[in-house]
Amino acid sequence: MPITLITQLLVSFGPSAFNIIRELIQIWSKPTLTLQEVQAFCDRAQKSYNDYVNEARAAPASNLIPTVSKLPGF
Amino acid sequence: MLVTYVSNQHIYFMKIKTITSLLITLTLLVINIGCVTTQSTAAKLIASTATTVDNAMKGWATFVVIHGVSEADQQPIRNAYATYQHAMLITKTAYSDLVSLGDKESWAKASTTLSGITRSLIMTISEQQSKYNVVIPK
Repeated sequence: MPITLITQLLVSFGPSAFNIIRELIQIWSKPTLTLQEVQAFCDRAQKSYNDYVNEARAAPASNLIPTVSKLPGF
Repeated sequence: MLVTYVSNQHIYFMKIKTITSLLITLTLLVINIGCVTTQSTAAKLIASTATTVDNAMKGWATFVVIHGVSEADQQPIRNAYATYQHAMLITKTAYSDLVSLGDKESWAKASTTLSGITRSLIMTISEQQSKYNVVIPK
């Protein structure tokens, strides 16, 4: 992944960008994924649209705004 | 740089709209990598797609809450996400068949469809977000 893209993600997405980058790095750095692991990823799609919105509504306001304390290493 | 960014949190609200375009780039990168289809690459393609969409949906849901997106404006995303869910279910089966039966044809068809639907979902999110112009207080 180009370093410029990672930088863009960090600036635009805040701490959430770390989640995507960390997960993608974990995925692609593994030699192989087991069938169970793949199926677990597939099962994320079972989460409903309303679940996503309800989770966002239930999240404390502080979770919607990035802060330094949430960044890894801070 | 990060401290400056955090001190001006309103920028976050504006730039959340750029998430989708970045996700499109990420998805295309993953899809391009996925063109070389081995079983291992197929697994990583599914995992990357699921991760990207999961985070895109979390970002969209946050956007909905922050900007009070109307039900009407949410409907296209609901529909696109339902289509994605169906495509992922088919891809899951196709991957199992690839592993157990070596069925590359079903996998190729399912993964191509999933990639297109994923792109469509992310583009739809981007279009809906663009309807909401965020004013940054000074």
